[in-house]
Amino acid sequence: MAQKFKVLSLVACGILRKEIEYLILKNNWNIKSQFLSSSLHTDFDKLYCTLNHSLEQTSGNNSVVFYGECHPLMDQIIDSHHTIRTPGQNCVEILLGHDTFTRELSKGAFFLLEDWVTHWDKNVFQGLGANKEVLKDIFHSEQRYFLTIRTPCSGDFSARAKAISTSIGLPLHWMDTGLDLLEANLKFIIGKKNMEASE
Amino acid sequence: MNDIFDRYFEAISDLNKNKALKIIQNAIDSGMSPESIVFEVVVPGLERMVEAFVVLKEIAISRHYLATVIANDILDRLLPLFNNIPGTICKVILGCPSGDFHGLGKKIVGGCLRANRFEVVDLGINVPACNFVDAALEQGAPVIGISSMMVSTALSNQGARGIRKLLHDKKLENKIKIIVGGAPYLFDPELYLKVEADGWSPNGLLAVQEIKKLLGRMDSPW
Repeated sequence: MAQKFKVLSLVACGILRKEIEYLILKNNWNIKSQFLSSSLHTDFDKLYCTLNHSLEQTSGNNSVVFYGECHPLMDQIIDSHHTIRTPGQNCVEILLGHDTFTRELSKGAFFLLEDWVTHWDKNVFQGLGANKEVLKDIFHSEQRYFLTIRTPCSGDFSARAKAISTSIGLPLHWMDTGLDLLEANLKFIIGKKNMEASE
Repeated sequence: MNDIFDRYFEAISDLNKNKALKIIQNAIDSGMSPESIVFEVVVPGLERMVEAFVVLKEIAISRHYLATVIANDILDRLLPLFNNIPGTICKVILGCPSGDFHGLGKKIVGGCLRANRFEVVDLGINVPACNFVDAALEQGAPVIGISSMMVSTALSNQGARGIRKLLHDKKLENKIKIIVGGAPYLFDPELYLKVEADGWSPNGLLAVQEIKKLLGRMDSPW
């Protein structure tokens, strides 16, 4: 029985693709991964269809999912495909941990990751429109600063992040973080799935 | 009138706030009453925007947001010019519960409520349950509105459930009603019952109707 579930399929949001690919190599996990565009985050219908489609392509019970609560029906989607997902509200909480995430959140942070910065125009314009003044108004109404998160896998995206900060008119803060929490989270679902498979 | 409405709606659809305000100013200058402008141009503009956003899915949320910002701006300018300044219906406390930082939908709902004569006290995002209740007591607000983007924050004890418990403990359930809204409720219309709210609404304009309905069910409003 254990043999049947030897290779796991991972369906993951592409927001932390570099980090997850690094961890797969580092841990020598026997995983076949598929990454979906982070831009799906701003379109519930597309996310629902794409994630369902991707999970249908995996062979049923031997998949795990890296997603937060990015869709109101996320856990129903997960259950319907007999899979499990990484615990956590979103990618930032998974990466930073609940306490740091909520602390920064309550100070007014809008979190930026490299992938989100790289695809800012596509992701933000798709969700909120491209009018600069309206975007400024929207961001200033609830947020105080951009918190840009750098991991050991990040490239140099400082110029683009600075351009976004200037365009929106919110200060840019930086935070360096390791991959320990992400790794633990992935290990948890992989271990759980492997245990299910061996039962 | 139709011409003014069409030009106003085109301006807000183009995200052109200055043009929208100019159309309204020209209407005032041409002798149109502030009451007509508000109730025949601005509020219907908001209604059409909601339809385009929610039902037809034709527009981005930013346009919907801008329409409420403009509507509120115009209301602030025109209400003092009314022959009989309409009183507010009541105060409504709005906010997103702890852990939820998606405040745009709440802002739009707040704008729709203001345009319909509710006084909105917006507590912002990431608000603990006790702050909602404290604010309602301080402000004498009979309605608390909670906007959630995620299922976990909708179900959280810092959301409607926590507020329900506080209202119950303080024996305030007949004086303060809870209305909820946000993405999880659109996908599960029974969710408002699970979170122990008194009502829910899929958008800002229906929130106006739902709150009026809740107020009608109250034993002894403030």
